[in-house]
Parts: sequence; C-alpha cells; structure tokens
Amino acid sequence: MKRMLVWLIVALVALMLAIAPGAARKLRVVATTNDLKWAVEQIGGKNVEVVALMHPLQNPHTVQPRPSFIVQLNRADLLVRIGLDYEETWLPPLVEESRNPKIRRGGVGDVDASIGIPLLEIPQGRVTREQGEVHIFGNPHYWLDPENMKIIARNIANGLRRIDPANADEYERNLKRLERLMDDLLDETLKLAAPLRGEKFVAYHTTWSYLANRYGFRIIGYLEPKPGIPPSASHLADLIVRMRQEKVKVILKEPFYENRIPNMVAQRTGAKVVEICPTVGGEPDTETYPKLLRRILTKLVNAVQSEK
Amino acid sequence: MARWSVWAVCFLLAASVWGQGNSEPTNSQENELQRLRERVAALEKLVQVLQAELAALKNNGAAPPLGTHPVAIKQQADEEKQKLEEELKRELEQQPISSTVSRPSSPPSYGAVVFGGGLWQALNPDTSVIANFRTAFRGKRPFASFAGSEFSEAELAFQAATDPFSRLDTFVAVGPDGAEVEEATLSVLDPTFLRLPRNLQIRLGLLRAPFGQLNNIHPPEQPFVDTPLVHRLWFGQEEISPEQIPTEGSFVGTGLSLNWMVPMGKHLTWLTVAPLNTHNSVFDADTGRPAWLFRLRHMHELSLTQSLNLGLNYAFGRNDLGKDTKLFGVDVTYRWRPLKEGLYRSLVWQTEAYWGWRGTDNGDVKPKGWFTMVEYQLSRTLFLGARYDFAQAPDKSFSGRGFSLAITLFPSEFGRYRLQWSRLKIGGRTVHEVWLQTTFSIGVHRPHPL
Repeated sequence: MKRMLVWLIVALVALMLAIAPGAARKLRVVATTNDLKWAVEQIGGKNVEVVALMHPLQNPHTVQPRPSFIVQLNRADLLVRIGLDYEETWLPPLVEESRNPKIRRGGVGDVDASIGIPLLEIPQGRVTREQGEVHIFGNPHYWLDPENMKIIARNIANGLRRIDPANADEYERNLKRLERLMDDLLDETLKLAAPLRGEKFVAYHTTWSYLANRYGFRIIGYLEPKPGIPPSASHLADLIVRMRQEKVKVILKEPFYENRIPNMVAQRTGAKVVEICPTVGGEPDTETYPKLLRRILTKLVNAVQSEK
Repeated sequence: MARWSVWAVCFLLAASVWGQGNSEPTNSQENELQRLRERVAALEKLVQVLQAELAALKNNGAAPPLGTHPVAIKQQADEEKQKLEEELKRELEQQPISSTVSRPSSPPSYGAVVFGGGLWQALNPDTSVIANFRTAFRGKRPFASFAGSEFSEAELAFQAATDPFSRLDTFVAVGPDGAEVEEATLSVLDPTFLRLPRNLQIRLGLLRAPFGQLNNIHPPEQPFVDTPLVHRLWFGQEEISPEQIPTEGSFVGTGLSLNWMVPMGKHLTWLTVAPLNTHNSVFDADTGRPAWLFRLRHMHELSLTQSLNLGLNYAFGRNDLGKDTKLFGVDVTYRWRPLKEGLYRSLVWQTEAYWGWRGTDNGDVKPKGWFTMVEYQLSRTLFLGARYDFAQAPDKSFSGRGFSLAITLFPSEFGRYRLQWSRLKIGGRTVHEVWLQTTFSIGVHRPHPL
C-alpha cells in the first residue's frame, strides 16, 4: 500500500512539472462564437490567439460541452461572451470547472460584449416560465447590426487594454479602423438591402430582430408560439392565415432547426423557406463578418425578388 | 409734448392694424395654405388606412381591402383557421415531431435536467425546487398490485458563491418522512489563496462520493426512475434483504475531496482523493476510520460530436464488522450529439462495474456488480432508455439482476414525464414493476458541467 502511495505522489509531481508555464506568448482569448472571434482578431491583431467555443452550425441552446472547452478556458487570459443569458445553459459551470479566476464574472479577463448595446425585446412586467424560454434581459442576437458590432468591438478593446495596457494604443487604433469599416459596411449594405424595406417575413426563432430593425423589414410572426416552445397546430394555423392575408413569401430558418414544420407552412402559403446561418463561418464565403452580412442580405434580397 | 407723443403712437398703431386688415394675401402665403390643405387631406387618408388596419388587427388578421366587410373577413379567416388546424393536427400526429423545446447542454439523463436561465441573482443564492413524484405498480406480473405513490420528494437547492474564493451548494430533500440534507458542499474555487498550485479544487462537507460517473448525478435527474441494483444494494440503506431493497442508493459521505485537473492537449484528466465518513452496506465510519477514495477520470474528445469518459476508482476502509474492505470500480461513458441536428438526436451509453473485497471472520467475501445503460434521443422531446444490471449483496447472501426500459418525454426544459418497465429477479424471485414518474422544476438550477 505504501509503495502505491509513493508512486502516486511521484506521478502527481511529474505531471505538475510537465504543465509548468512556458515563455512569453500571445494573449489567449476564448470567444464563445465565431462572430466575437472575428472581432477579437480585428482588435487584438498580432497580439492575440483566439479560439471560438461554439461551432457556427450549433444551436446555442444545445451546446454539448467538450473537454477541450475546459482546457481552453483554463488557459484563457480573456473570455469574450455574448452575455444576456445567451450562453447561460452551458458556459457558467464550465468557467467554474476551468478553475481560472481571471475569466469569472467580473474578473479582469471577463468581457460581456453586450454592455452598451441598445437592446430590443426586453420583457416588460413580471417574467415567468409561462412565457417560454424568454430572454429576461432582452434579445441576445444583437451582433447582426454593424452599429452593434462597433459597440462589441469597443467592449473587446476595453478588455484587451485591461489585461495588456502596454499595447493599449494599438488596440485603440484597431478599434478606430474597425469602426470606419463598419460605417462603410453599413452604407454599402443599406444600399444592398434597399429592396427589403417594408417587406414582411416569418421566422423560426427570434434571431433576426436586430437585422430587421436596421434594414427596415418586419418579422410578422414566428413558427415558435413562444421562444423555445413547440409549434402547435393551432398556432401554425393562425400563422398560416396571417401569412396568406399579409402575403408573406419568405420563411427564415437557421440550419440547426428541422425542415419539416417550415416546409409544412411553406406548402400551405406558397412561401419559400430560406435557410440562413446567422454566424460567421457557418456557410461558404462567410469567414468574415462583412462577408456574412453581405451574404445574409443578398440571400434575403434574392428571395424577395424571386417571389415577385 | 408727452400728449403729442401718445397721439403719434396711437396713430401709428391704428395705421398698422388698418394696413394689415386690408392687405391682399401674398403668393407665398397662398402656397403655404395650399400645402397645408394637401397635408391635412393626406393625413385624413392615412387615418382611414390606419383605422382599416386597426380593425383588421382586432379581427386577428391583416388589413382588409377597402370596401370589404370586416365581419365577413373574420368569418372567412375563422373557417380557414379551423380547417387548417384540423389538417395540421392530423399531419403532426402522423409521425413523432421534433419539438422546439431547448434541450440541456448535456444529455438530460447524465448531465440531467439542465435548468439554466438568466435569473441568477447577484447576491441571492440560486434557488430551485425539483419536485419528483413516482408511482409504482408491482407484482409477479405487471399491474398485479398497486404500490401507490410510493415516493415523492422535493429537492431544494441553494447555490451561490460565498466570496471570491469559494462557493456553497446545498441540496435538501424534503419527503413524507421529513427533510434530509442530501449534499452540502463548500468548494474552494481559487486555491491559490491557500497557496496551493492552480487547477486544484477542494470540496468540504457532505459530498457525493467521487466513485463512478452516475453517482455524481442526483437521483431525480438520473435517466431511470430507480438507481442501478449495485447502487441500491451497496450504497442504499444498511439493512437489506431480497424482499426489501431500497429504490435508490447513493454513495455519500462527510469529509474532504481534493481534486486536481490536468489538461492534456484537448483532453482532460482529473485526479481525486477523498477521505469520507460514510455509512452504508460496504463501509461503516462508526469503526473509527474513514473510507479513502481515489478516482482517476479521463475525458477524451473523440471529435466535435463525440466524447469518451473513462474512470478508475479505488476505495478502502472498514465495514460494519470492523474488518478491512476494498472496492474497485471502472466506468465508461460515451456521448454523441450531432452538430446541426443536436436539438433532435443524441446518444449516451454508460457502463460501470464494481468489485469488492469484504473482510469477515471467515476470510474475504468478493461481491461484484455492474450495469450498462443506453439512452437515445428519438426527437426533440422524446428519449428512449434501456438498462441491464446485475449485483450481488455485499455479503454475497443473494444476488439480483434486472432489465429496464424507459421512455421519457420532455415537453419543456422544466418538466419531465417518464414511463418505465422493469423486470427484476432477486434471490430467485421475479418481480415486474411499472413506474410513472413526473419531475418538475422551478427556479434556477445550475447545470452540471460535464
């Protein structure tokens, strides 16, 4: 027994030495989504090494934590998250298990990208589970608006300055550059999305509210009767009648939702189901945020024009 | 002089008023008036359109074309809706439908019901209640006898960080027999303040023993109504017989757990040592010695969609006879969840095997037990599970084996309905059981990590 304990202690010491910290290195940043990863790369430049936890094709509600998530969080200098309870079902216990005090809520390396975002759909009055899986702080799909991307970038720059004050000027320069890029992107995409103004759509989930708000189209209904609640026959019948009356010709759907119900509704309304990934890297030619936004808007414009 | 001045001012004012009253409107004034008239006319039209839209919205529909009677529109819409509803109901019932209820981040049975949400208050502890109701029908054949609402319990959870360095998790089970603290753990979150190397975690209190994978999951959140036979016979109540075995058994104890996490590439290994005072059929702390538990757990990332969890467990201590007892266990858990269809499909397979060396006056008794179970997600809300288990009593006085099938419906993240059939053969006696279980949760229950 004693010999076994001695061997156990020797093994522990050897393992501890094996993981001793190395020489100077880039800042390790963990972003929860590819959109945030892109923004961190723009601000951090050559000083950062960024990984994204979620796969762009994954539903944020069903992220299956993998061991590598904890490894990355354990080594992170900075964690950038969407916030507003978007990652609440899986991220907090992983941060705790990572044993990295820097990235805990309020830690020096914790960046909530939603700070300062003008939020949409903040529930009013008493919030209960009766309302479905309601986001109590407001709709968290805020990144699909270039104006909001500027705020995200500002939050990231603040986080980087906190942990790396020596390069603060560089982060500020990169931030200014990204802000100009977003202004140009907004001008360009407003022209691109001009045919969408006043158009009416139906969506599976509340992913597109900020995009609709910025580019002037309306989501008149959702396949889900309440966020996260299964579509019932009664709700779908209501929705179909409304779509027919309002002549809605496009149903928006993310790749991680099933096709059956959107197709059922499409068959009865003559609408077209348009599958769009709302995240950078989920589809070909969307490896950057500007490319993603152009692709989403082009798809919507094409869908609207083809139905006319 | 003053009088003259007053008269001059009055004259000027009168002339000014007279001049204004008699002047003709200029061209610019006329244009402005015309513009205002047009604007008012446009606004009148807009009001008419908005009134029409409002009437349509009141009738739960879109704006009717001008001249269409709103009552006729409503009747038409109602008929259309009723017809559609019947048609959709028929189609939805034809095949299992995937619901849109968000699933937990980990499979519900093993990481269990994840009660996330954003209500985590800054200073109040996260508080939740999980109500667990079970009804059993039991006999030589199913439904031979009704065992009644055999068990119901509410698990109260209070969880919060106490300060930047530690957190407290308390679980209290409240049942017909009163309240019992199931688990009360103070976890040291940041051991550096104790000048210990990073990646260490210390937990103190009443703990679920780090022995096997399933033992870490609270019973209401496990994938079957009852726990496997080996848990029931070895870690359930102290007095057992073939006629009387508990429905649940969990290896718990009071003491300390020291856990070291070792990242290895994209994989993780944990080493845990825990001296625990525990009372069950295997170990008895009344003999003056705690049980020492050692667990080596490795979590291997096979791909973006699959992972494998391997565990080696060893424990030694004294039994109720005051003799040395040792336990050895292995556990394997495989998880699969596809990326795109992760909302609708997943699979968990879990197997655990235990061997014991129980000291007696007549030498060592070597009981063993194992279980294997699989749970497959059929749709967004429906899960099918199967389990086979075998266990010998710790003193090897009898053995049992069982087979269970369970179907679980999750209409939302916060409610669960389960129907389970089990066939148990214990000490030569065969028993069939049919269970109905409903589990509801309110409040904020922190999800289990991995």
